[in-house]
Amino acid sequence: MKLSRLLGLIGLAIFGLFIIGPLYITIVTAMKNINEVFTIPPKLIPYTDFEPSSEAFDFIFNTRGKYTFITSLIVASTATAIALIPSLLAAYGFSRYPRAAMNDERSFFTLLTLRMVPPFAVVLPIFLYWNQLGLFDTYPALIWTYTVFSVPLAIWLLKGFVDEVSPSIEDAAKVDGYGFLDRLRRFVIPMLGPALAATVALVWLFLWNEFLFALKLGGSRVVTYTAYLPQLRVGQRVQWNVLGAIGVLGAIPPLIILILFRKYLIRVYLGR
Amino acid sequence: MKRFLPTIKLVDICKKSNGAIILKNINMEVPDKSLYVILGPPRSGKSALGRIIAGLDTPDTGRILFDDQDVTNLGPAERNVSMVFQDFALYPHLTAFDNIASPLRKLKLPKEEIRKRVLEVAEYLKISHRLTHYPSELSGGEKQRVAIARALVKGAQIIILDEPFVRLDYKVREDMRAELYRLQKDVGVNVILLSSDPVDAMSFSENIAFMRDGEIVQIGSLTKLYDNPKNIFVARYIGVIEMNFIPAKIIQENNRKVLDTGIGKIALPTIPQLSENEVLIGVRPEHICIEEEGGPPHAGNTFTIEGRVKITEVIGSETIVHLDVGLTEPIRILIPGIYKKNPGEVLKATFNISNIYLFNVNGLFICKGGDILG
Repeated sequence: MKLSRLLGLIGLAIFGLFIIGPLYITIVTAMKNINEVFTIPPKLIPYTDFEPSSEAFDFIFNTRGKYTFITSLIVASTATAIALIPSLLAAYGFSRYPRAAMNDERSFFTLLTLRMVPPFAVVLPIFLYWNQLGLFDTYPALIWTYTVFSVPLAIWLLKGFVDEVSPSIEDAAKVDGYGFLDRLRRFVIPMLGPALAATVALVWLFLWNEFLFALKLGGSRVVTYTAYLPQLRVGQRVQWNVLGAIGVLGAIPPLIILILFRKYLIRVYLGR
Repeated sequence: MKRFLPTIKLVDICKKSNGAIILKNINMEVPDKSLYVILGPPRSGKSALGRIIAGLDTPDTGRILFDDQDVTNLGPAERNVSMVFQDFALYPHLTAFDNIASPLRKLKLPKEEIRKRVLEVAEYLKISHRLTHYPSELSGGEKQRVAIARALVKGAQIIILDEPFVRLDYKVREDMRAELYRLQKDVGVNVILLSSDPVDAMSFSENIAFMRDGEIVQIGSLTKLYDNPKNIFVARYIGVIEMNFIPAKIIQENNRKVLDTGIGKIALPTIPQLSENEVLIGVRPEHICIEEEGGPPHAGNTFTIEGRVKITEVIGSETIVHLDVGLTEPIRILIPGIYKKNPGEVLKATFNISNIYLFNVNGLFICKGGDILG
């Protein structure tokens, strides 16, 4: 074996340990009862070191914990759906009318910077807005905030995909007699197809994993599964096993998305 | 499938794009039931003009009349115009059948009617067996047939084809040219062909508009463009191999006007309407012969040049000899058959004076040699 290949494999192994290690500990922790969580040295191998317990999962399914997943699902899905319509139209405009007023690199970049602002820098004013409007800790507040923050990402992803739809195909549709909305519905959207689905998936994933806004703009009536995590303590003791179990359950949707849209997400991340 | 066909009239069409003028005062008339070729080099504005005739773009100024009806502000469907795009622009997510049916679906025709009309046009274009396939599964020629079928199926009066043969193989190109000719005759539809390939002009030779830099330079039949090119540019473009140019001075010698080329002199009885005393002599490669040793001498008023072979190129069943006669560019000579000469060999080439073209220094056509000799 060549040295470079060996070094590469060693590097990958170390990298893998960093990724797999915490995941493994999360999964193992979710399988313990609360007393076994704190033993030193830690018990790492189920059935050998300790008897697996369903205590953490039972806790989630017998408390409001189970509703937090439903809340996350509603908030992330609604916001994604609302964000998609203006994003698709804007991406179409950016792609098809490069000479239109205000369609230049600056405006496109400005849109992207919205995405680069650390959420922490804006979360307080946004909190104050919703509070003034009397909408703090409601579904509309969280959904609308999520929508606004998803649009730049969705435009950015979709523009690249719309660019790939040949304009002559739309000209052909014009010649066939189709108006703008018909062209979008019958030709552009079906041709975007899986790429559109991957965009939806990615936007949804960011919202599913979102923590800070969920915590600050919700927290008592509207509780997503991420905002639920800090509440998991009994007295001074953190319920690490329940945290682990929520982590395991929360990772299932992203995993499904990654498997389904792997091909397109790689293209998205590599800039094609 | 007989149709009512309008005469297309373009009046003073101008178009700017991004500050640059892409069409300047276009005036032309496409007679009904014709196969019309708009010929020009890439970026000469023919696509822009095609899109304006189709109704995909509107001109900045000027009007488009179909017969005497002003259609300037109507869309492609309202004008009943179809267009076949250079990349065929088939809908990749639809089968060939659904691609062809697309304009009919928009018209909300009954299902049976759509089916009948698609099958009819597919039969005519010999693609019946490919209707269930997606565009990615079709060959170049088949894609083009599907694109033409889609343009035909709604009964358009005018079909515009933008560089239809560029994406096709050489052999398929020949088939499709023949197909287009047949279609225009059978269906009776106005076909406008946008092309940068002079061979297209030679295949469909009745009506040609030659464009350059957003302007129409010359309109006419192939014979007219070949024999009386308006300027050097047209002369160069219309022809299988580019025309040769030899600069010459007009001098008086023994009371006769003589063209002095620097590599020989051509005596002329008269040179009409010449204010300049310099001209460019144009000679088509196909009008030059190579004088073989011991061959019969050329009849008539001829001019002979001598030079060294630079290179010989075989194209199909013809040969181009590049002969260095001491001018800045070698003289190209087109000879039938495969002809092998080694570089450096000395050859004599002859052409008949009646076949030369004379241009003034600004590149405008003056006359042909034949006109001077009478």
